[in-house]
Amino acid sequence: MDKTEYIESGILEAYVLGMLSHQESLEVEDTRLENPEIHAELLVIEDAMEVYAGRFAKIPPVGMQAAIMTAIQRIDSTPKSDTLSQKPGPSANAFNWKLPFGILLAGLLGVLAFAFNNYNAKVQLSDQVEQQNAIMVTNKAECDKAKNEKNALEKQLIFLRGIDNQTIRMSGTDKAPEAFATIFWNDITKESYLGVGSLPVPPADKQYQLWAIVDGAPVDMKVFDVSTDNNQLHKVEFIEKPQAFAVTLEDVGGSSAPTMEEMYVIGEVAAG
Amino acid sequence: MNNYPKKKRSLETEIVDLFAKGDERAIPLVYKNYSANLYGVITQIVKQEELAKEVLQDTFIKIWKNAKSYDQKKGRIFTWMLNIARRSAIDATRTAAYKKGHKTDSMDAPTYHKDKGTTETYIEDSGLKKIIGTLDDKYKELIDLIYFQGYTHRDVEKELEIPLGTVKSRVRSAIKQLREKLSDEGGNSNLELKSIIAALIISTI
Repeated sequence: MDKTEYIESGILEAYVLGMLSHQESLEVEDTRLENPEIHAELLVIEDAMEVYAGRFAKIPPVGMQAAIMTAIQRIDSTPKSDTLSQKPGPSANAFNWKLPFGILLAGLLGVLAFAFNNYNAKVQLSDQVEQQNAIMVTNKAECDKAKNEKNALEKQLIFLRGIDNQTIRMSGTDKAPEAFATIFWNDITKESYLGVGSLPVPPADKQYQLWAIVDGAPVDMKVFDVSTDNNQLHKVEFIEKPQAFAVTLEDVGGSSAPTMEEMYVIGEVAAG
Repeated sequence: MNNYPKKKRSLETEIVDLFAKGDERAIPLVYKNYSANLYGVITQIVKQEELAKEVLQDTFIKIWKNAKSYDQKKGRIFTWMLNIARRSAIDATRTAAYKKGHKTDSMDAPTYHKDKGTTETYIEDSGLKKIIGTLDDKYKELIDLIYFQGYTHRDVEKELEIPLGTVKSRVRSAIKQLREKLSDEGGNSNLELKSIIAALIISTI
């Protein structure tokens, strides 16, 4: 569509009169930016509108201005206007001024408070949206976590149901007679899990370390944390031909050799 | 008439600034400068005085509520306010109360003053007079009613006793012819001619 056609289509008048859809208005605005002729035409149409409106200009009935001010004030009820209304008005020469000015001032305060209210409502609303978003993110994270846990537990259950499992119970030493933990060891699937039954909560600078004894020598099976929920099994390294398993308390990160005095539980593997 | 006085521009700028700051001094300023134009347009649409007053009040409330969203890039402030006023007025005419009241209680129901003068006598611009003069009488009559006397299509229908469909097609045809005259002038922006076109377009809503 060439410029003249575009102008004559009436779309610009419709735009100025706010008769277009949002999408159409955006298109006109884009065209306006690209095209100075269209821009000029729009300005002329706006002037024309003012000429048109001016032809019918009619002074509103007396008292309308005060009524409008009062109406705007009535909408509002923010206490903010109280502190402001204590400000004295200008001391204009008395009677003629005071009443309209008072009404005006009251109206203006109303307007101000109304705008303030409106702004607050907006801020509150956007806060609420943000809060809801945050809740959603948290919920999603929790949901994902639950899903992962469920998957892990399912795997463990499948493992535990396997008939080839060997269960090695590690019992408390003199250091902690009540303590116990269990190793589930499967020679077919080559998997093993550690179930922490009961171990004292270690000091912050210490961690438990699992060991296997193979051919009389300790093999490092890594440190593990004692979590509050002991339902979870820890998947641990699979070790061939273990003779025994033991847990010692070591410095955080573990040691290369077990500290024998700090052994908490130990269990021998029944001879296959 | 096709220059836009500097005074008006600086008034607009002042109002826009006050709007942006949420400064309530904008309202009396708007009232002083635009309430007559807005009220005039409102009474063109809403013909009951009490309702027209309500619409004017509603318009001002909307203007203030939306003051900060007014974007100078998208048009003049008066056009923006005019559209708020028009929309409020049109909404008011759609209420059941208005439809009921309109039949019995309209203030200045338009009366066509054939003796009061014709389109040509209203127009001061001789160039425009010439342009309008070349139109068929039925279009001159239409422009007279719609532009100079503020008739709606329904008013025209009643006044001239012609079907609404005919009124509408005549208006479209008038718009088309005026545009042709306008481009014959070499795109010379004749503001009043444009204003007549705009009025005819408004009347089609």
